[in-house]
Amino acid sequence: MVGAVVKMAIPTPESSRSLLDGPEVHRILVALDSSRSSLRALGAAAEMARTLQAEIEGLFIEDEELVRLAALPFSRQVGFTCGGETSVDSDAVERQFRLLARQAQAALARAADAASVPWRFTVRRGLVRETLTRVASDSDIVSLGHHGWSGGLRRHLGSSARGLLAGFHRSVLLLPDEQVATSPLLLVYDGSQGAEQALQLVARLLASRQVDSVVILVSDPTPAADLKARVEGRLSSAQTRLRYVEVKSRDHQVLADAVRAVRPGLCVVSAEGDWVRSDAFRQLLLDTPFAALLVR
Amino acid sequence: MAVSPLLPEALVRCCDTSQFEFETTAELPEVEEVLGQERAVEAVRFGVGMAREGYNMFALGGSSRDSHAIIQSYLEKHAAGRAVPDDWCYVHNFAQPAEPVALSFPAGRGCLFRNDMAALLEELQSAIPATFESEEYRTRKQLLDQEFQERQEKIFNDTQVKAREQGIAMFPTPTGFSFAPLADDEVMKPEQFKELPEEERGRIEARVQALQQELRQRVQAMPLLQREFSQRLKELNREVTEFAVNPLLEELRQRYADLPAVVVYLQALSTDVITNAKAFLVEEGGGGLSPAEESGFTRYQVNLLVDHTGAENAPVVYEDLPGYANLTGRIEHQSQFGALSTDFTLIKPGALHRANGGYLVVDAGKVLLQPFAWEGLKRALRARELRIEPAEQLLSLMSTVTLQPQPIPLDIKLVMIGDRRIYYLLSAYDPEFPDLVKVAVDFNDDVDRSRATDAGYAALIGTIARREGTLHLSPGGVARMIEHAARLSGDSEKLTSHISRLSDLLLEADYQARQAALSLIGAAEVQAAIDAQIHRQDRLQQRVQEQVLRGTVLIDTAGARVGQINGLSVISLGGFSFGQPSRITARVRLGSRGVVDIEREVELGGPLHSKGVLILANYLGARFAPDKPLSLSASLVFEQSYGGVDGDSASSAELYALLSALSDLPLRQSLAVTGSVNQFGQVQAIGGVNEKIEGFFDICSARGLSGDQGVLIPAANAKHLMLRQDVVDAVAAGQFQIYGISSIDEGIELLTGYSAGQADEQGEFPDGSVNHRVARRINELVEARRSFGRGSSEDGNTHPGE
Repeated sequence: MVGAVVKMAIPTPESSRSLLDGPEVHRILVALDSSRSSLRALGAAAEMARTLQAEIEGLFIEDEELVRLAALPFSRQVGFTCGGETSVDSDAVERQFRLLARQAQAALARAADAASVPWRFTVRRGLVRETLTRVASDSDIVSLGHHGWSGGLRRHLGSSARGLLAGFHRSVLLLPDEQVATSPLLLVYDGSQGAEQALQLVARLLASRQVDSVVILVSDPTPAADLKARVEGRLSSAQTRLRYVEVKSRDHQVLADAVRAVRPGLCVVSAEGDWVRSDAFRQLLLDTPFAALLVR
Repeated sequence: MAVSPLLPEALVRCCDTSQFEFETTAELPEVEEVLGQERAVEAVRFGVGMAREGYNMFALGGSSRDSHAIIQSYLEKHAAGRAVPDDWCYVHNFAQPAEPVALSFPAGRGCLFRNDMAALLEELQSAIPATFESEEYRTRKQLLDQEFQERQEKIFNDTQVKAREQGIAMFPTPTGFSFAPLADDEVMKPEQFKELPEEERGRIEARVQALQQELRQRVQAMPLLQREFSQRLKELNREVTEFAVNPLLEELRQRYADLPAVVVYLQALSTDVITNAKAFLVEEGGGGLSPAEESGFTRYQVNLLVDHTGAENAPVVYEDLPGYANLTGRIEHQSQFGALSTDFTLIKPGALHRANGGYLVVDAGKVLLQPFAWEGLKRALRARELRIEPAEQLLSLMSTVTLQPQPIPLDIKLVMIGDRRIYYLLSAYDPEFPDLVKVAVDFNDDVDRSRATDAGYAALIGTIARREGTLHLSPGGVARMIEHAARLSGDSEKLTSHISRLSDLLLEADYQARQAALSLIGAAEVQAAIDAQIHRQDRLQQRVQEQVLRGTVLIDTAGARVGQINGLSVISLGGFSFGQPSRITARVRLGSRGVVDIEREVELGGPLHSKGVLILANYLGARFAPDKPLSLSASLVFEQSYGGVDGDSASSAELYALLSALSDLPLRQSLAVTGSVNQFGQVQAIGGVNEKIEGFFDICSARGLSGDQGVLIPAANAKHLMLRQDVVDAVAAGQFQIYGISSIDEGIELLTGYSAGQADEQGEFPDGSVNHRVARRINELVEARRSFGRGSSEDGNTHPGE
């Protein structure tokens, strides 16, 4: 890694238009299940929708597997906290669905109204991963909390998040349980096609936000100077304080450490590379509180 | 036996300017000592030097301003030779938070300690987070996290794997886990389950129950794991915090190694910081400490209660408002969300704290007027320690949580300043007072007048002029000041010791001189200032005179009347006194009630006045009817007097009126009389003689001086005469006379023009004399009463039919 270079760009009407070049974002889907991380995902989605002038859609999935489970004659559940056993029946599950859906819709309405963005709310019943994938096909970005209950472990990535990391055709915004900072905005840029898409999205975000930004230039194989020139060319009109950090290796752990060192509020990275599917990236999501935008 | 009027020289004792060998007071040396207050000064020296319990001082007498100045001056001189006392701080008591710890420091080090602690807190706020953000700590914590996660995972994974092996899924629900049979890697649909053979359904159900049982046991074991993790994390945090804290605190421990109590406090603080290290960790992006976190650090602050930084002497503190809290300190509260709370930083010192190790000066009257102040002061002196106990707590008026700060040892010399009445009342009615305040500093109200004191006064006036920045005085100006000082003392042979009044006069004379663009204050300027002082206050005097001159108040200044005389009284209002003539009349008739004081009958006469009347009645009886009952009823009255009358200075005038009524000889109305009388007819000294003479003179002068007007004063008062120059001039011109009278006989001769008459060996008075006439009339009354016998009533009136 090399030291930082600070540059303050002065926006002009001509250059401001260039920030908005590239694909537009019309709709952001947020998966709601009333968990803390899903509410954070909602807040981040609303903020991003405001920035990108997009619509926000809330999705509540009535888990088909839970419906099936409740219908089994011996269904019982063991509580998380004290290990107590309680029975599970279909009526209780239906009531729970209705309650959670109402809560999710109310939260969506509050967040969208606060951000002054249009919203809609959808309830679907089905298997979680399939339903989310199906509904997400109409959206440009999917926002969801990345911590979930998986095998009883709070500190594991949720099953939805894991599925979306593993292979998904839309951009994904992942939020942790914890509160995240508002800055800096971090872009991991290696000059690839996916990185270009991430750069374009960053440009759109910076067109209406003034936030300190850091670009990690992955200079393997493209020289850092070339990468920097491309980024500067794209973000020259952004009214932001830009700082560059060079990483000479594509090693997953090295990249994760570079991101940790920056302590970003939002990290924008291409979802195409191997890195976002690596254990190093998953661990990074778990131990460092930041919002990750995986761009496709 | 005729009495001659006093000569003009006897009416005022002028100050001889020839005794002064200076051109202006600027040439005179500075006066260090206090004029004429040797007793008081010696008492102050004794009180200050006597370092024993209870030798506090009470300064009584003199003027309050002068007492303050003298006491303050002496205390400051003595304080200069004493060591500067310790600084005192209150710090948090980590073991008993409601009982803040008092720490003492050599003077000046309290402030340093406070600054050191503030710096320490600042360093801790950066050092502790830095340590927790270090790579080493992060790695160790991550390893711990990882271990915990793995052990946690293992607990669940084992069950999950076991379930999976049996074709069962462990399925998360919003509030727990459930188990369900799998079909095609999904939860089996209920209809599929129903289609299974009963035996298979039973096996699945049994497996699920067994898994639930196992999972329940594992979940119930989780708290133990979490407790272990929490404990290990605490140990890690403690180790890391100690690493950050100990070097910083060690430096302070060494710096304050000579103060064991401070070292103990630092140890307790160290333990507390290590235990509560989490409070120093600020969330990233959290925008600094929250108010709650800030208040959490309050306990590491130092409340520097008494700071003697830069002081070179023991403190001399004057508390102008000696209320309970101002004396003993207070504990303030602040409102938080409607509730009152406090902590040791809200402990405020009182005057006793500030004066500890030195001197505290208070006004006795003010202390006694403030609720609980005197009791609080006594308690502190008695216990020799300063314990802050809010008054609201003493009265149980406040039920909110408050503090009981550790007491601070008290070593103080108290000086109370007040008038004599307060001193004697406290001595009489407060049994603790004599033990707590053993030194009386009794200031003289005046000093003997001599050439030496004149010279001392001149130097004193020069000193005041320098101190106040006024013009200096010529010898004439000084002489006039001295004469006025004698007038203020009411004695030509004394000078007032109320320097503050002279100081005021000097300032006002300076004003007069500057108005006249003079460079020196002369006699004329001093006189102008005196006149102006009088003019500002004599509105009532003018009104009284006006009423006399317009005939509203009946006062004759010419002619002669039987049973009527001009008495003289003094009215004192707001520090200004003036004389006022009053008509006193007497009527006599047959009866047995003796002399009746009408003022007393209507409860307008004070006890001293009544005493005077009783004395003159006895004089009358003893002299003129020693062997028979005094068969008369005589009434005495102050005419047109509508307020109270007290004092016995009119008793001689009343006796003259009575003798006139009995002898039927008229009294000269051109004369006014003052003086008290004893049972032997001697005329005794009274107060306010100058004001009384001037009061009558002003009336006569306004009506035109006839040449036979004057005033009879007790001969013993001649030495008190310091009369106005216009009175002296009138006497010198033969227009007004002042007689020094020693006995009633002398006075009655002047007033009637008849000889008083001395009794011969048989007790008979010469024919034609006043006393003869009086004796004859009394005998006539005795005979008349005897002739009435049983037919007359007690009041002398005849009641037909009895």
